[in-house]
Amino acid sequence: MNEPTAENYEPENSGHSQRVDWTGLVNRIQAGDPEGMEELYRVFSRGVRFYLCRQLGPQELDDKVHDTFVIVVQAIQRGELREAERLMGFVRTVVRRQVAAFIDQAVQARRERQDVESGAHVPDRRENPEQYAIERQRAELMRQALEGISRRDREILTRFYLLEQPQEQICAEMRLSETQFRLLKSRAKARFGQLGKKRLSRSSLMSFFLRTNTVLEH
Amino acid sequence: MLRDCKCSVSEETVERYCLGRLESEELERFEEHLLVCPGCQDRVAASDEYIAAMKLALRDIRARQAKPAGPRWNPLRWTPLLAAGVAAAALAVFVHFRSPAGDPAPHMVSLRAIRGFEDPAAAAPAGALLVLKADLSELPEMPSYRIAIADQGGAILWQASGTPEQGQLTVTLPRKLAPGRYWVRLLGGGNLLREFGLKVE
Repeated sequence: MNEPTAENYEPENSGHSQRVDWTGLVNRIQAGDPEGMEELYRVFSRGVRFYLCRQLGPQELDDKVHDTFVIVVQAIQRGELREAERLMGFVRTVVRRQVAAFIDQAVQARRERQDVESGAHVPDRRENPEQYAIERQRAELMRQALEGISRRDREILTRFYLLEQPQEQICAEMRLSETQFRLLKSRAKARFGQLGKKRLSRSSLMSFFLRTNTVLEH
Repeated sequence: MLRDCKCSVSEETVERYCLGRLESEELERFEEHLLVCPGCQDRVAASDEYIAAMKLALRDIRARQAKPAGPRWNPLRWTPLLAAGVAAAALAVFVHFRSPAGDPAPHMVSLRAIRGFEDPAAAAPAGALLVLKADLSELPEMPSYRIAIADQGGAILWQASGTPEQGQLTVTLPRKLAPGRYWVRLLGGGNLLREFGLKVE
């Protein structure tokens, strides 16, 4: 498999098909060139935002992304990046440290305001009713997909996804080959996808008919 | 709609990343790639959603099938579930569960955490004895945890300790809860680790 690396990365929306010149980019940032910093932001902002959101949630995301970029730029300007070609790895290291730091801050803040005996409510994450409804809908669709497969297949998926048993253990105990195991997962995914499409097309048709009726009445 | 991903990262790698099962070198390479590949970011997001839905659905199905099986039950095949059932029964004794004669079967309540959002309130019927199963995924591993039930105002109504089993903590409430909203708090090492909403209707 051709694993992507810094050398063969081609940015999707750079406006040109040339590879990123990491050395040139680092040199421009070290020289304080604003265009260099803009390019750094253009190359990495989506990925940094994605990573931080996935690890920490959507709260105060803009600030966290901004803080991360400030740290990266300052570190580059201080000469902490020894090899320009390792810029992706360097950014990843900074982002992971930021995640650890934000978690530490959150835990500390929670400890300071928490008082279990007096009953202070400390939610785990913020509530998002819309997202909750979407999650429940997906889970319901998945439940339908799973109830349509055999108990044994369900047990295999339970061991892998819920009990987090390694594939090798499951295959050994359930007497499956690696291929059979992968096939089962693919079938479950395909079944879920089919049910989802069916439901989507039903709800699209329903919306279409409702709109059409409304137009006809007027 | 997923962006077209020009790289050749396999679905297997994406799924293993989402399940936290990539080894350190592979993890490093993939995360560096993820920083700069919108296609793979979309794939990870889709995989996260799929896995979350799968876990929720499997827990629901498991909770509904929690009653002991009939004569065709093969104990050798269902050993892990048997062990979990024995542990749950032992825990019920540990928390001095007493069921007055004539009570209905206990009602299983799964308390789950969903990535990115507060755990949605679980629902339970009033007048039923409740068996709470709290999800311990992504929490630090400890030999025991504490569960506390608080009313809507935050006053603690009941608490007990329990030992985890296969990534979950199961406790049986010794008394029924009146209709209303409650908070189920999971504590470990003296710290509040997770809080779940519970609606009794």
